[in-house]
Amino acid sequence: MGGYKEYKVGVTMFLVVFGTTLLMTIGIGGVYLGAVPATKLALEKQVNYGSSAWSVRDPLMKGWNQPKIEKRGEMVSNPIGVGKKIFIREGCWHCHTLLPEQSMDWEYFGAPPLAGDFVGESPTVIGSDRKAPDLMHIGSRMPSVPWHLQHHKDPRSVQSKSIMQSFDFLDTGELKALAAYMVSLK
Amino acid sequence: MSTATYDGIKPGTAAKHAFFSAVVWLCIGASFGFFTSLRIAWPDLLNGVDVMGPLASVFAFGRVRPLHITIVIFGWISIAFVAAMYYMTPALCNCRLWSEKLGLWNIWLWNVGIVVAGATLILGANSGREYQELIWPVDIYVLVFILGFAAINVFMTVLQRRTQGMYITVWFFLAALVMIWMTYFIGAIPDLFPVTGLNEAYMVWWHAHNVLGLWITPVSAAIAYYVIPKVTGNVLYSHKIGHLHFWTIAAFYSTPGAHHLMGAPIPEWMKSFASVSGVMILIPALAFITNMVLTVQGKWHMFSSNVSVQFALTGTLMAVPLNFQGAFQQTRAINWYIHGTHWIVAHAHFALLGFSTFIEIGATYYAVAKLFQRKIYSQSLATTHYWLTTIGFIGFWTTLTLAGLIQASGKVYNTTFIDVVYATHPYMVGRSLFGLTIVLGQWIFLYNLYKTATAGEPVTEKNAPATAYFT
Repeated sequence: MGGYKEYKVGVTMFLVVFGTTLLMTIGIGGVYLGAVPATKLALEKQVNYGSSAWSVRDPLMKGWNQPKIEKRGEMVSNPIGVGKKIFIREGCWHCHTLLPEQSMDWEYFGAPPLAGDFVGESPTVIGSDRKAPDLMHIGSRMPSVPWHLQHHKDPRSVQSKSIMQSFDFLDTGELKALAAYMVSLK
Repeated sequence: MSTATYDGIKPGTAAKHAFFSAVVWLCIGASFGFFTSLRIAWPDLLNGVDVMGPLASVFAFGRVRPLHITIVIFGWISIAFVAAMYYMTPALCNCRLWSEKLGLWNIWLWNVGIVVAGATLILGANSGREYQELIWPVDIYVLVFILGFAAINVFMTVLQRRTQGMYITVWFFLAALVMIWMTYFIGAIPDLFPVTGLNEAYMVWWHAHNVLGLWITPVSAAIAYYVIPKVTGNVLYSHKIGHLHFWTIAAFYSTPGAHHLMGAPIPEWMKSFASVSGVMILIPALAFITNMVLTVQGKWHMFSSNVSVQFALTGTLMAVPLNFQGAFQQTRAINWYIHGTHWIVAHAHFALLGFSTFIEIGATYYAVAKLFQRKIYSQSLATTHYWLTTIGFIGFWTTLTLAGLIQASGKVYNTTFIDVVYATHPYMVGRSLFGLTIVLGQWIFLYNLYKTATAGEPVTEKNAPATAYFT
């Protein structure tokens, strides 16, 4: 790196400073967060969604490596996990958060999660922009599957002021899986 | 500019391709943003339209929104950055770009990458990680052919420079290329390795914060450090303040990543650390603004008479409210109130449109005129572009901020959620109208640049002053 010789000190200093910030944030923070033990809810989620992190068997991240469950003698993908993949694919999380925040929020949307609730879940889709109600406890607030099916097909038929778009382009199987995911969020 | 060739390609070709690619993506990306805003204001807009049948899923809000973000950040802003690097680095190092051929490959692989990324997103291949929505094969492509190629070309150019020192713009370019590579890589870790849970959320938000903090902010500033002194003809006010700016960006800007997770169950010490270091961002921001404003001393008339200075300086001055807003809204006392509301959307557009885009547009006007050796085709179209963008942006920001305050008070007083949605509807309509104003301005910009390149009045005088391109 001959041309940078006169900047030897500067380049070294830069790498030290930038490396230190990485160590302080990603390094220490990552070790700390990685050590959080899984809660019972986290284990339940792992069973439903599968270990959803990186996999070469699913390069398009469409859920091809979804865990199978037995249903009427056949092995099928767990509808809750399939529903979560649809929730991700259709970008539901761009408006609906999955995180009652540690503020007045929990009086309205229910208890905020524990750190251990997310262990093994990827992506967490907690969301950042709440243009629509939080869904972390939607299964407790609205446990009716037919309501969810109707709501996704024609939102304004059940809530006249809703600004959610209609998801009538999803097929019946996808709508059912999405509803199964919704009611699983207790 | 000499007509000598290198690689058989005329110097400046890669920069020309890059500037035009960037502006085309700006128009497309902004138009998609306008489209998503329509779907919030009128959710049934396209329902029942026959032509939508098979395309209904493709134009769903949840699929177009990441498309808007990807095109604007990685299409417009990042390609414009590399265009500026390919133009300014050789100019500041008194040499040619290391390889015009690699530069052209880089830009066209980049355009292909944006098309592929956009196609995967609207066809529903989404990783579910905000601002890191691309699937892992695309992530690898970005790291190698997009960020990797650009970094090699700029570093090699600096290596063969014929100047003794390096101007501040070049430090920022070099540092930012290293930092964006690392930032993108860290954001892609959950895609490439089995990282889950809050650790994944933390890496994703660290990435989202630092695409801004370690790429968009420093490179925008670097471009202003070039354009404002160059076009006004004044020397930079202070290199010492420039040093302060550079080192405080490197030290403080990446650490507040966790302030995006204030409401999440991460440890309290991480939130407090992020919040405190987030306020320190004010140091580089104020150093930069001070330096720029003092550089313009005696040339303030150019703020209204020269479109390049007008855009670059507006972007710089926007950094004042932007950084104060950013530093204080992420403190825990304020964050719990406005987090998750439209206020944040307004703030994000403040940074990407009000600050970064304005500076890049200023640089694009100057660099395109200079690269083609022609005067800007129409000053009145350029002024129209300025006012459409400025009025559009201010209106856009104001309506979204007001909507955010309504949402925040609704949250605090436990108002029925749907009533808040209903109350913000007029603001969503207003946002669409101001958004349309911005989009119109950008298409005018593209037309003006195209006419400049093809029909602008040639500047034949050798070493013509920068102002000669703006009469």
